[in-house]
Amino acid sequence: AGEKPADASSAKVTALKEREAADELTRVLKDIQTLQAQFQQTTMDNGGRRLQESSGDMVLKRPNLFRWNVADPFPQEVVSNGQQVSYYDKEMEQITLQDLDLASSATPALLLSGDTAAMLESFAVNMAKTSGNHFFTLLPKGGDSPFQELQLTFVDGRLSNMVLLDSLGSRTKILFDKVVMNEPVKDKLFEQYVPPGIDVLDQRASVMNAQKPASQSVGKP
Amino acid sequence: CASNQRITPAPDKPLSNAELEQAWQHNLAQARKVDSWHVSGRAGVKTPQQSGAVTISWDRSPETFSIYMTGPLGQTLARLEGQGKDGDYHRVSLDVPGNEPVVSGSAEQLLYLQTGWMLPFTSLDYWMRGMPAPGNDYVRVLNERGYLAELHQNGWKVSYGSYRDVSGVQLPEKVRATREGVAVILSIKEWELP
Repeated sequence: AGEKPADASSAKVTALKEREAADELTRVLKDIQTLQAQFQQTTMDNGGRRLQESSGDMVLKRPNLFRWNVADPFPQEVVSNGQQVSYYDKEMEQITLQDLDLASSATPALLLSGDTAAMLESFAVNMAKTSGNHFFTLLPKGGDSPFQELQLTFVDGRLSNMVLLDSLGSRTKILFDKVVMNEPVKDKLFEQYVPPGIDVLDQRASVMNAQKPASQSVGKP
Repeated sequence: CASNQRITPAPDKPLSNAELEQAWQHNLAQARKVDSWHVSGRAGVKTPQQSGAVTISWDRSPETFSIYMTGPLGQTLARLEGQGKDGDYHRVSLDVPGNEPVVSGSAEQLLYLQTGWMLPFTSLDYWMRGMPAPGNDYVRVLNERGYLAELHQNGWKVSYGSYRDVSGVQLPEKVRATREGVAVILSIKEWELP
């Protein structure tokens, strides 16, 4: 290649740094076998106007098990049992089921509890490290990613916050509080209880392709 | 920003038909003055095959509107924007993160492309203010204080829940439009008028 030596070495240095950052992120995430926390989420548009705010609590267990209870302003539950994600919208009185890998609106939960190696295939990682604090920046490798940038911040080895900057320029920030790591959690947490009278709308590919009537409302009179 | 406290219960003695009609004309005139707002709330569509609900942040003026739809964990799922005059938006674009923007002459066509349902966007822009859309005849049912309880227009049945006082104007908190098994639900948490 016609690269001048200087470019070649600097390219090598950044590649090494990226390798190190990816390994460090893998190690930090792998250390999280289970995680429980309260969260505050704020989303702003590219002009800085507040679009959405929510708060609640979450629990996750590696790999791919999570429960995200949004308390307010609109009570919802996002639960993954490792294969499917269920979105329970209490006000709309409905539960929607999606395949885990298509559950694009659960990215924050997938990032923390999912397969890190798979994630690293689509994101390049940069890391800044100060005494005990890790600040990871993930930049999408592909051109058509819905995200411009993702950020993960750990303070003293504990998850502190997460930022998702999407391709429209809107910015979702999630602050984690009262973080408890690697305490045992009951697997029952990752099942979605279906209250009577609630519509269950199954949008999983297997069901949609089989053209089975998708809506099974449970316990409807 | 606008005060959002609950309205007081109905007056003690019921209004006569003439009084009700007068109240309705007054309320309609008030609603017509509302042409710019910021609304945050929930929008849901329910059909036998598919359904979904999103959090919305809706900014509207006679010349432009911008509706952000965000998911349960705060991610922006889509943004619908429109340009036009006097609430007639002739250029509408839909932006989904990671996709190219799609532009069309009507929000209805764009939403149909994206969701597969004919959603009465232009009418909803009026219905959500507690009034019928212009230009088409309608049948109305008033509540005891001369506000819309129910409206039949363009083949849709629109039913209203409670209203809330926003800077002196009574505006709906919940609007449900149904037609042939498709239900569009708008639950408004915050009205802000300029």
